[in-house]
Amino acid sequence: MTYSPRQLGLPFVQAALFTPDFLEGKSNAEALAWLDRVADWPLGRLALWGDAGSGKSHLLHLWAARNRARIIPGPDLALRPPSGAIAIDDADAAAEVALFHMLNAAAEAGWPVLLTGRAPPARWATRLPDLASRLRATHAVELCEPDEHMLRALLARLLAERQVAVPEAVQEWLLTRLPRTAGAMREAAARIDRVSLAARRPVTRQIAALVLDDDFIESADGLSPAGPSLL
Amino acid sequence: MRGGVAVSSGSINQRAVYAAEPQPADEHRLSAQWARVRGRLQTEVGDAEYRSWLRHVALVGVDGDEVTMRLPTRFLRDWVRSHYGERLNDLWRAEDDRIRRVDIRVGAGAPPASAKAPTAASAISPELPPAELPAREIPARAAAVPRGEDRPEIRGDASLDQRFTFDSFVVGKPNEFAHACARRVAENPASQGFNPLFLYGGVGLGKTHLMHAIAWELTSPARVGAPVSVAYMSAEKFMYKFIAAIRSQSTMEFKEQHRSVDVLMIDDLQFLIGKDATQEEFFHTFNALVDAGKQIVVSADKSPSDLSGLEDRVRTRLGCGMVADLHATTFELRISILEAKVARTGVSISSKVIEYLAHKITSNVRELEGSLNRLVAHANLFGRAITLETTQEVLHDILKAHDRRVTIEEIQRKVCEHWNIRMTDMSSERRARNVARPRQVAMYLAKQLTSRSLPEIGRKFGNRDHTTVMHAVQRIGSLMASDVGFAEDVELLRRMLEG
Repeated sequence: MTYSPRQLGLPFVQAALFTPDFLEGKSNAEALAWLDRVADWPLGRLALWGDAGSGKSHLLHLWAARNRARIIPGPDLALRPPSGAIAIDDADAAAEVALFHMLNAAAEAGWPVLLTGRAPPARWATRLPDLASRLRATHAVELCEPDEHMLRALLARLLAERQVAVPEAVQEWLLTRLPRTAGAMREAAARIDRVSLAARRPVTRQIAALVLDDDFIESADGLSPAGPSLL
Repeated sequence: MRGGVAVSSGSINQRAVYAAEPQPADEHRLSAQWARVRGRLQTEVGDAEYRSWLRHVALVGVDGDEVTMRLPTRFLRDWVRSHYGERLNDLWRAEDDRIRRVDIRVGAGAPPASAKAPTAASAISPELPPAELPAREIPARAAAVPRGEDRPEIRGDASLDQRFTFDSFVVGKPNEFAHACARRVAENPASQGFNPLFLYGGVGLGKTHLMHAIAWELTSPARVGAPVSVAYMSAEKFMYKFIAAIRSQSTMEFKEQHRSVDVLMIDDLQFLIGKDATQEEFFHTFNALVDAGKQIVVSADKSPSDLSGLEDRVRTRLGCGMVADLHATTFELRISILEAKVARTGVSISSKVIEYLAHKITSNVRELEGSLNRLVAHANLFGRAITLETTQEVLHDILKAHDRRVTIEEIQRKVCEHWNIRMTDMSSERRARNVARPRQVAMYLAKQLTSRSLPEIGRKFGNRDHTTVMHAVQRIGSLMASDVGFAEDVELLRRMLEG
């Protein structure tokens, strides 16, 4: 019996996540236009919302870098007066009182605030009425599901980031069979990466077919968060 | 390096690169050629594709028979090379028949800031990708009021909102009493029966507006009489400053500062609930000021007696002056508020839209005005008129409780109802036009309105192949383009499903 060591599929660290080549398309054109015009934000605030993988955090980081804003993950938000522009990622997971005072303090000092969340702020489960009314008065822009052109580019980009060579014909084959969401593309790229590492051969249609199991359809469909799955 | 063209991989022979020896005529010609190449490419591939891939291509220069261009990342470079390389070659050759080769490299970075004159490349390069843009300073918003020399009387780090004056406060039945009390205090602070003034009401009904208006009025240069010093702050800020004073052992200064004003205004007092030390300090400040004949204005979300969690003695003292509440808005007041705001902003909005907003956004004034702000900002940014349709589109997050995810079954049902066919026809083998066409429409809508994959859509239509779905989508698309009536039918169905 010959023993062949299996390549370990270690999780890919997305170091290249915030590259300048953010994919632009119809689905995010409105958001990009707003991010470019901070001075026009009503009340100095803007919220980006959309499903997992729609690019909220990506845009938030790009915006923060460009505007020298401090990035605060929602759950880490604390009662501290801001000293500049603020980008609160997953603001729907922030403590309500902290978020309320942060919005007030930023408005008073004239600093812009960018928020992200899965749903528009008006629909966050906010108990503090003062915060709820501020959130409902905040301009919210949706990051929609990408169109075909974007999905094609996104899949190619994700595979390139992982340095997995997948022939274009196989990518096309996948595109017609995957749920048409950004989250599905991410999940597919992650799975192909793992499968190809384990198989130690180029990605063919047969290998690509392995990622299209039923549980994929469920997990990538926005019904449940597209977390890492066992394969 | 002269010319300052940054190229991260590979070096470019500077000798013949135009950027190195800029000659105005050549530079001009090159820039015109590049603009034409870009323009043609954009027309050929369409805006969406151009924005994704080609917008970031920057021209570095021409060296003999070779054009060099750059892109910020390897991925972009590879993609553009493999998908547009040949086309770029042809287009350049059409511009200049000496050109034999187009080289695309990876190169981030604009010319260094020290570059004296713009180089050919920097002058020609299209919009830079975001990371290359210089960080922009964000101007502090206009809402903040200059503190210091102009208005030395306002203390408490208060940035009073310039929009919140008596002039901009729209008075109606629900708020006329509170408004009258605020006016009275602004005209004649610390008068009998009006001290303290306690304003309360639900969120976003105008408590802060009235407090700022009092402060503006009291500190107006036009005001006759002795100047008054006003301190306005949120309860949160009062607490924050008090804690900071304790930490820095400067509580005496804190006390002096707050007890030497003529008018003290504390907004959102309910945030002091549960903060015993701060409440205690507030109580002493309050007493000191009232004893000295100074005016206090306080706002909260409930009446003094309902503010459970505040000490009894504080509640009693708060309620011993004038207590005025702001009620929820009425339809008439909402219309007046919107009309006043529209008149101030100078945009044109039809009365239909105003009535729609007044009808739909009933919670409070902040949200009402917020909605109007959003509409106006959207219209300005995208150059669109404010119609009922854009209103629903821009404000869909607050007008609808949730965005429904349409299912394929719902689509099939609606389509069947519309053309009066049976649900079973959606998955049947029948190919008669009167069932086949609606079935194709349903497939088309399933593709547009859900994120299901094509094979999955096919499965829901009697296990059809995904190529059948693709064909249906194309067929309906071209039919809609040629038949206006049919297109309207499909659009109507889509709106019904989305609504």
